[in-house]
Amino acid sequence: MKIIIPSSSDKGLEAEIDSKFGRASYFAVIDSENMSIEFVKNDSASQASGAGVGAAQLCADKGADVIIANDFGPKAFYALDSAGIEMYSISAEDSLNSAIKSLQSGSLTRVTVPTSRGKR
Amino acid sequence: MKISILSGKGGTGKTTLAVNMALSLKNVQLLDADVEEPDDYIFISPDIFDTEAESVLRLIPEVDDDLCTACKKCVDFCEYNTLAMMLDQVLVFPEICHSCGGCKIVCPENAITEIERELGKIYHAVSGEIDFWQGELNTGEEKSVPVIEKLKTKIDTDKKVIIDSPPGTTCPSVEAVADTDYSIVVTEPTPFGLHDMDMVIEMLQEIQQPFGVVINRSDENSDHLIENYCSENDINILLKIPFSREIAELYSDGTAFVKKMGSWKSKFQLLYYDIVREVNNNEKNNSN
Ligand code: SF4
Ligand code: SF4
Repeated sequence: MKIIIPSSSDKGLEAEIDSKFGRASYFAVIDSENMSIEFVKNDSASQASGAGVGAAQLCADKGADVIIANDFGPKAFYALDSAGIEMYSISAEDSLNSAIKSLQSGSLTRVTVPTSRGKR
Repeated sequence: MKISILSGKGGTGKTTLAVNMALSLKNVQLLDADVEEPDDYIFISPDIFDTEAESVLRLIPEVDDDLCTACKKCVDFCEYNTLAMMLDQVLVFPEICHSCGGCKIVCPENAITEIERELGKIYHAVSGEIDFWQGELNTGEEKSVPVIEKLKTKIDTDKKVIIDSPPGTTCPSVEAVADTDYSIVVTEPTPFGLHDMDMVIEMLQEIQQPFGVVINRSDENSDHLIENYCSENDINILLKIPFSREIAELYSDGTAFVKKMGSWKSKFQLLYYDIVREVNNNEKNNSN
């Protein structure tokens, strides 16, 4: 299973989650079978509009099955949901490592509606 | 003469100034370009929503899924991230589309057509001496510039034109200010007011727009915040509207205060003619 988590740095599994999905600096693409990790720079972060949609596209292109993030705006939510990607929410302070552990232990809440109004 | 009224944030007194100034003048046109939250109508024409509105339309792409081969060219082309390819299907996010038409051109399968979508509305009313126009962005839409552009086509240069601009310093504010002869920045004498005003002034200087400042909720104990800044930067303070219980109560009743406090009319007339004089002087200096 491929898990993608917005990350504030590209420094391994101890990196901290980036609180904004669309504007995250990096995405950590983690393969849960072997815990291999790849960091992808988020080019949409600096774009004036549609960062959430651009980020969702990147995650879909990377073959995400699950995304763990702090915040999903309405457009990102709709795009990810249309791709059949499952979304889980977590507090922003967590590290990537503990986010994955929480997911595996089933303690994360599935996101079924957008968690914020997004940016105008 | 076209005058635009601006502020760093909403709720600073833009509406107060715009409606009271308009009500004090003859042969005047008031355009409410604060399209995300227009509220001048409350004081000028409360029944405006009963009148028929003109639609502001724009074109957005629609994808024919039967023709689309999911080549993703349109998605990669659109630099505004308006399109996404999810499970071989193109999703369109109309709110963020810039209506450039590019995706339709790059599609090799002719799967994209453009459809009209209402972005906002323009309302019109005549109230006494005021020819009143209001732009409004539909809920959920994000692009206010085309609504402001359309609103500005209603400008009648034979009248004294007052444009209540969107607060802030981004594209919609710049669009509202463009081609006006002068801008008035409304601020409050607080540290936040000063900070927000500073940002607006920076934007106006960047586009080389002449302007002056009006202090709303003026109070002799705190006006120095704004006065010091203005004298250091050689900026004119045009008028002070005092912090007054009477004005605040009239405002919350939806009454423009010049209607009850008639002596203020002449102050707003003076304000207008001061601006006319300054604009004319500037023009003379520039042509010399
Ligand atoms: S019209 Fe332009 S902005 Fe709109 S989706 Fe097509 S390419 Fe993007
Ligand atoms: S360019 Fe045309 S064919 Fe290709 S994905 Fe877009 S709509 Fe479909």
